[in-house]
Amino acid sequence: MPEEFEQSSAIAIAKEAEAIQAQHDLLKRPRLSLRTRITMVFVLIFVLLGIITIAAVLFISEVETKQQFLEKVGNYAFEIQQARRYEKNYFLYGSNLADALANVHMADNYLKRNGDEVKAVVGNRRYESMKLDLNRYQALLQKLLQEPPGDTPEKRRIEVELRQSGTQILHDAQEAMDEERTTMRSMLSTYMVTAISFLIFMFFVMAYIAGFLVRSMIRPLGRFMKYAARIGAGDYTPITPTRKYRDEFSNLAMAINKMLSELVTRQEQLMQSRKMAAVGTLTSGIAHELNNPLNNIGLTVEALTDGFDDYPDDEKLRMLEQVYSQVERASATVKNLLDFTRKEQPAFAPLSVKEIVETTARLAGNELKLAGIELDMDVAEGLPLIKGNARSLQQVFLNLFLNAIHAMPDGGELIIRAEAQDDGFVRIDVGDTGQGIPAENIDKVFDPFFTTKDPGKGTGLGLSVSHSTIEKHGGRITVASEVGKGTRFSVYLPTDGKG
Amino acid sequence: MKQGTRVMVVDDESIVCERLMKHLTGEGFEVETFTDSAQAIERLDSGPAFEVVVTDLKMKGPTGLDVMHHVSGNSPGTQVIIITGYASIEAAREAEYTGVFDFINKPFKLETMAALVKKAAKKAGKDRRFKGGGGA
Repeated sequence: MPEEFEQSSAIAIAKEAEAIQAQHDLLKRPRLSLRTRITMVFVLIFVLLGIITIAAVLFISEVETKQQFLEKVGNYAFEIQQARRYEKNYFLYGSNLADALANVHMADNYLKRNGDEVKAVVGNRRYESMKLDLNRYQALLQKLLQEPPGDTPEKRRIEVELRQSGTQILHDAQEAMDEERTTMRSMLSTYMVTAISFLIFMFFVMAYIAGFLVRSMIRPLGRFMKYAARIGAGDYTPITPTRKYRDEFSNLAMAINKMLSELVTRQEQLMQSRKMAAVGTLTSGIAHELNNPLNNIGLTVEALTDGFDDYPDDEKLRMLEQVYSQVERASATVKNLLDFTRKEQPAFAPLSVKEIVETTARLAGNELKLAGIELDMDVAEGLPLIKGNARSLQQVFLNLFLNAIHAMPDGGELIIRAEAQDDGFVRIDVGDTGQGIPAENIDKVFDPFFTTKDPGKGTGLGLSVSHSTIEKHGGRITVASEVGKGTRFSVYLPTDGKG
Repeated sequence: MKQGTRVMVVDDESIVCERLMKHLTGEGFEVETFTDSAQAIERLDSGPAFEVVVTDLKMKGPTGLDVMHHVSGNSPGTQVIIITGYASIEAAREAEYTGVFDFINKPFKLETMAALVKKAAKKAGKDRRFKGGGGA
């Protein structure tokens, strides 16, 4: 037993080292918490929305400026038109020219007051030429006012010049307005295209964010569900990093790893106390198994010593043979005990589960026939190879088969199933339709010397030896049973690749 | 006093039966041995009563306890000696083994057992309720 304890503490140390390594790996990664990531995403969205809003505001104020410009140039053109109307009346009906001059003066004021804006739109040179044209028109009007009444050749010359100049001024204003309208229209269409493009762009941004949320939350959640299932099945290997960055899930992983190492420690403690209980069973088992032969030897030797001369020679010989057979009986018990605690590692090789199970079933074939038990075997094709020792595994399965057969004294069905699991283990189920194991005994079935068989029929070592053999293979063995329905032992063996 | 004192020995270890048969017979008892406890019970139910019954506790089939119950039910004067394994003697003492004359541990000596049987036989002989008479 001390060897067993050493072995289990070695396993505990290995597990602890594994846990420390996992902790280190989890912490080693750069930290990028979910909070940071979500904040980053929302900042990005806010910045994008800010940019588009500022752009819209700038654009609208630009459009407004243009609108104002158009209004102003419109007013300017209106004044010029008025002036030209008065000018026409003057030539046709000889009416007053002062009104025309007043209009021109107002137009000039418009032009001067909004000089900067107009310059910004039409450019400096055209603005200057506009101003020159207007001044020339004004000068011509004033010149006309100074002419004496009546038709003079000079007046006619001025009239021609005035018409040309007026047309030119109106044309220039019209042209500036047209240009500005064109720019505005193109700006509006650019804005529409930009708005639609931004909508499409935001669609992709949102799609990315949705994907990001799935990646950083839903997927880890799914993974943690798998971890929980794995831990539930008894695999206490710590969680190792799968992603590049550390976040809240890493904290969860570390918490789970801590829980796992606590669980392992607790389990070790539980195992220890169960082993102590097993030592108790072992002691009384040994006492019973050794006391009987010792008693027989003692009685026989005492009888011979006290009455050596009372017995005929052949009787003495028979009694000595009895002593010898009882010595052998005691030494067989000791040998079983040694087999149970033996620590040496048998040679491991890649093995086919199918082959082992089938050859073992053949070994048990005769027993099955005698007990009137049907064999229902279904071993999946193409199972991965496992790593193990063929002889000791055969012993394990033979033991399980024989136990199943003994559990069905009135016949029944021996059910054997083997399949590969996702976690790198092959699972082999050995079930019977026998009497089942009562709940109070189910925890003790792997304890040494625990047996429900009649004295002399079983040593109670079979399942505990099987248990330690499977553990040495890096696997585990579990039992499920229902009284009156049957028992199922499940053996999990690591595949060759898993090491 | 030993003449006609009947002793029954029940143990599924045949060597124990053989040695006790020889030794107790040598001490002057009338001995019957049984390796099958069921047969012993049958004998208790049918044949003449024993002064002393020596039985192993842990046996295949009916246990030493079952044997004892048959004895106390059928012949109240009979003294019962129970052979126990080392580990179970304390538990056995604590259990309701009323009417047990004594316990003896395995491994035991023939001499010790013979002395115990003699003592038990004496008690059985004194017991007035013993219906078989015979003793003293």
